[in-house]
Amino acid sequence: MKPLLRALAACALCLLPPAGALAEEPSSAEQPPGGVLMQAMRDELDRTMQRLRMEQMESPYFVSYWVAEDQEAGAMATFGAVEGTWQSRQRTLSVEVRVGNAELDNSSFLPSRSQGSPSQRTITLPLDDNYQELRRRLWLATDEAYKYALEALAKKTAALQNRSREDVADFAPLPPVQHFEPPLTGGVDAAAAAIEDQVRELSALFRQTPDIHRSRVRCDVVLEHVYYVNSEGAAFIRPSVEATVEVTASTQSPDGDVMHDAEVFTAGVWSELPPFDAMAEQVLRMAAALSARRQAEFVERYSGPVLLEGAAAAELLVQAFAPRLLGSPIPVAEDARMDSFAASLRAPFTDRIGARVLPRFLDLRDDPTLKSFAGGALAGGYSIDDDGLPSAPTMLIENGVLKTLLTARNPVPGVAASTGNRRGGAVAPSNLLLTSDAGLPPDELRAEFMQLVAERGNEFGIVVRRLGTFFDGGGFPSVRGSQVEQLRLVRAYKVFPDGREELIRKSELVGLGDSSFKEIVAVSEATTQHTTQFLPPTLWYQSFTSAFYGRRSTVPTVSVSTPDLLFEEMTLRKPVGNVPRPPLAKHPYFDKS
Amino acid sequence: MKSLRLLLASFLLLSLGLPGQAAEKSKVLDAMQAELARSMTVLGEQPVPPYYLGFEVTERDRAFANGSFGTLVSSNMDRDRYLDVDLRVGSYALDNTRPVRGGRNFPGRNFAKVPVEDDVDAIRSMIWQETDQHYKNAVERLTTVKTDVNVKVEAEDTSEDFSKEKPVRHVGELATLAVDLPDWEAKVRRYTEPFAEHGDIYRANARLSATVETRWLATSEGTEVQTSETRYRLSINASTKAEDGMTLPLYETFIGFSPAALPSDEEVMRVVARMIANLKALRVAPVVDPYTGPALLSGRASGVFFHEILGHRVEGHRQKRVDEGQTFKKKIGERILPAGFSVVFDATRRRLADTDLAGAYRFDNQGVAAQRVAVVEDGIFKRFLMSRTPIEGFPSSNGHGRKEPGYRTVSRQSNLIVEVANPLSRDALKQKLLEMVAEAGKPFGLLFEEIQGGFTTTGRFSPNAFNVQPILVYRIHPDGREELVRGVDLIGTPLATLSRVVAGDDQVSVFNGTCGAESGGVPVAAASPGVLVSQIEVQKKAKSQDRLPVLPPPFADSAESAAPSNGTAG
Repeated sequence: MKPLLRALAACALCLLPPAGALAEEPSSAEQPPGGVLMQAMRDELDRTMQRLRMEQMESPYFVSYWVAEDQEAGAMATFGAVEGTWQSRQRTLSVEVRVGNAELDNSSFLPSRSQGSPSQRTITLPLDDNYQELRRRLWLATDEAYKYALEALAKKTAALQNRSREDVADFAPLPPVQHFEPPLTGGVDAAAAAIEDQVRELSALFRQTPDIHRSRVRCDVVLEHVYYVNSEGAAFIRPSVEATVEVTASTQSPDGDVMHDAEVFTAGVWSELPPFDAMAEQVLRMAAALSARRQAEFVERYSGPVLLEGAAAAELLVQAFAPRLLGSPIPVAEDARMDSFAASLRAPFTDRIGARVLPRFLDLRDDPTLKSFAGGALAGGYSIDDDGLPSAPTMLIENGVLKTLLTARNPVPGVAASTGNRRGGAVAPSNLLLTSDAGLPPDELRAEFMQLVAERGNEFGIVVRRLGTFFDGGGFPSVRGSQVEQLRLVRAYKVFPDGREELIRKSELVGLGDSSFKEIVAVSEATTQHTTQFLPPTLWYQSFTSAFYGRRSTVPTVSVSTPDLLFEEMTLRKPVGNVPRPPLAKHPYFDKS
Repeated sequence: MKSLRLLLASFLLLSLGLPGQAAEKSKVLDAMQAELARSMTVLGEQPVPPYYLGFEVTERDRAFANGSFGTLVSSNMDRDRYLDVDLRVGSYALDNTRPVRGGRNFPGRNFAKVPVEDDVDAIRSMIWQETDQHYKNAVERLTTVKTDVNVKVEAEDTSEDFSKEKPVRHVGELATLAVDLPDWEAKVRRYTEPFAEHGDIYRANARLSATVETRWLATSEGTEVQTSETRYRLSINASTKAEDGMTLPLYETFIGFSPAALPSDEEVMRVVARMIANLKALRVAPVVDPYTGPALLSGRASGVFFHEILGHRVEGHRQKRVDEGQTFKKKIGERILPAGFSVVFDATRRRLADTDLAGAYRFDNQGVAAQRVAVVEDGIFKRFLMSRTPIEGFPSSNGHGRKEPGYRTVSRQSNLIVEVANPLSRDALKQKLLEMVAEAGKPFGLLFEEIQGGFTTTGRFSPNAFNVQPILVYRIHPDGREELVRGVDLIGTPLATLSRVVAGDDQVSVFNGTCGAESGGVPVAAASPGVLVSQIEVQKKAKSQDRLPVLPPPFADSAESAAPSNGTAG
């Protein structure tokens, strides 16, 4: 509880009085927050709102500038040798220009050619605090964004002459908040030297694992400062830092099956990553499981109880459940042939607000204010979202009943206001906390599981300890419409009534639907905190249909706290597809012939 | 003729081999050779064994600084090592690389990398993975190739798929990257500062970069090459827009093998001042309508002109592919240019007209020593640029097998050099142009002074045309007056245009650039004197439809100072 209180206190200190204060001249002794960069942003914003207008056309009714100043250091290694290192510093700009009005503007529009969409263009700003040059870039980018916005609104209005759309506005009001955090310094430079040794040593572990064919360790430390101003008077400076170590490995079974696995470690700062020995132990455990799968058997098909433990439960929530909770409006498609695709971008849970989507004993909330929960670290939080709304918890599901969706400033049916989940170019969760009062101790959960197996008349049950992830190299989950309905199982085991476990080589969880999560019959008392990347199938389209001109980072980090989940019924099957031949020569390091 | 070439080649081999004795062989080469030997043994036991295996590792150690309008945008250093595997099954006569007629013959880029640290075990593990993949693909493809040979009509060109060349051994010194990055950062700021006061210049960038490219080549034929070369590059580009929306860019690039090859700060500042003056003049220059008539091409412009219309059509492998236009395939021994005009591709030449030549190298990507290849001698077409892909009448490579890491090697250009035996002075050439203008009753002639580049299509399924994109074009009026104009590209078809080349002057200049084709981007140079062409055609340039910015530049906005500096937006 302590970290939460501290975080709140820190925020309270920097929440300045909104709007009205703007008109006052800052005292000369006092440096305005954000220095030259923020000054240039404010001044160009003022000029834009007062004067930017093309003949015969309307002025923008809303403009925002979002500048990300990133400092990054990273390295990659394989088999004990560094493959590459990088260090970079850059400032990127994203301009949001809205023309029309909050009811109908240029956003929520799906252009026919999303290729080359300005929402994906990278606009760099100089690293130097050169006022005149910053203004020039802001001026030119705003001019282009404005012209693009006018065209988009014209096309959208034209498309709507022959079609109707959901009865929602395009933009929700937000009280203007000013929030300035002091800059973070250091971290990246200091980490740069250590990173190389870290990736080299971690990757050298694979010299002990003859059955692993490919492996790679990648490490990144990113320090980011986001500077934001908008024409409603909101402004913020939000620093953040993140360190990630990603270890991926793959192998082929003697008959050719390709298998992947990964371990990822994330921390707020480099020094908070687990100690080397702890990471090494986990990596070797992963390698051992992957090696063991080479000889393991398949399960052709299985229907029945499945227990998802720890990270597997968390990944299931992130990959298959969280995308259903995103409130994104149906964009107006320029081309009528894209209408059904546009409609598929809408979250299916939009129609389920007030309905039960989880069993009664489960609650789910999104809480960006937390840094840890139940003793585990959370890394998905932030102080203020990318629209300038200070972060706050959102109760998503209470006693199994869906209360709201996660939104940004574009309203969706049933959710009129933002929940403060604008993250970069998209709407995304922060820290998802699945909680229950009815969690069972380990032996009771296992007994319940075995009871279900027996009732079902199955010879064994399935316990899953790791799912495939977006970055382990094993490919992306398959989706129907905008939702994930099939996932790869990486570490899954048959569990027999006598407690014996048998590793499964490869399998897929299929047929996940909107009601699948109501099939959870019991959960554990203990919880796991897991951090990963959030990459829902609709992520890119969220940017394409936005009013952003200039790319915003779009793969947010999310953390999940979840108990182990026991499903009464799930379906597994052996993956289909061609199997390549195994390598003809042995790995040279292990070739003793 | 043939034996002479062969002698020349072995002489080169000898002289290049000697200094190599002193240099130390890298562990990278050890790793490549160890894995090469093992792969040949293990894969040799397979039913379809490889008959050739070549590994190439290319290391790029780079430093660069980018500036814009007096500020720094980025500066960075990075290092990468790319691995290329050339694995062939079948035989020299017929192997898996033969193009399949009607098939997709150029796979996309393969981004295989190996560690940048000299760790033999780690490097070998990556080479092993790639080799395995290439072997499987090669076996699969050989089946397709054999089917194609049996099912389709007999090929017009029945030459073999891979030439036999003598193995080469050369271990050169390794270069290291030495760059004072803070100094470079200051330079790119300084170089772009003068643009900052001009509100109608919308883009102004300078980029300084240095790249040490180290290449290691090891093949099952016994070739062993280690070369290392540093290239320095300064490029400045800036653009403005005319009232009608036309974007008007200018580019200046300097490339050299030593920091001394880059211009001094004073020279750069003069170049920048000239660019600004030209941009200002271009904004208000009149637009030329499509026109045909006589034209003068500056040395740099005609270099690019020859690169597009001749250079890409003398790349040997194109003469074998059935979807290529093969413009010159049957022109050996025929006149294609006026007497006195020669065109050579000289990869051994490193400097010309006080400029380093970007297309120089010591060995091509197949380990064949660089050579001077005279393609046109005294107006007569003689030969093609050859990689190790033989074509009818040309069974061997002449050291022009090139590629960017990740692509498959084909024959490419190096340093194109146009030589004119009886050059005129620039004034005499202009006088000749004016006579032609008068004779043809044209209102003016054109002078192409600077170009940004060009492109051409050489295939059969689209018109065999070229497009050279000039950025500084002048109208030459009958009285000799030169007037800057804008809005045209130089277009044409190769044979017709070459036949209209009339004369050259004595002002040789060099265009250094990167040429893109199916084997990726490779550095090339094109050097030529100014050339007079009796008839060229220009077409309208593609043009942006965007209006000029609505508001004036912030620093030149008179209304701005009147507005409250902290006024509430709304």
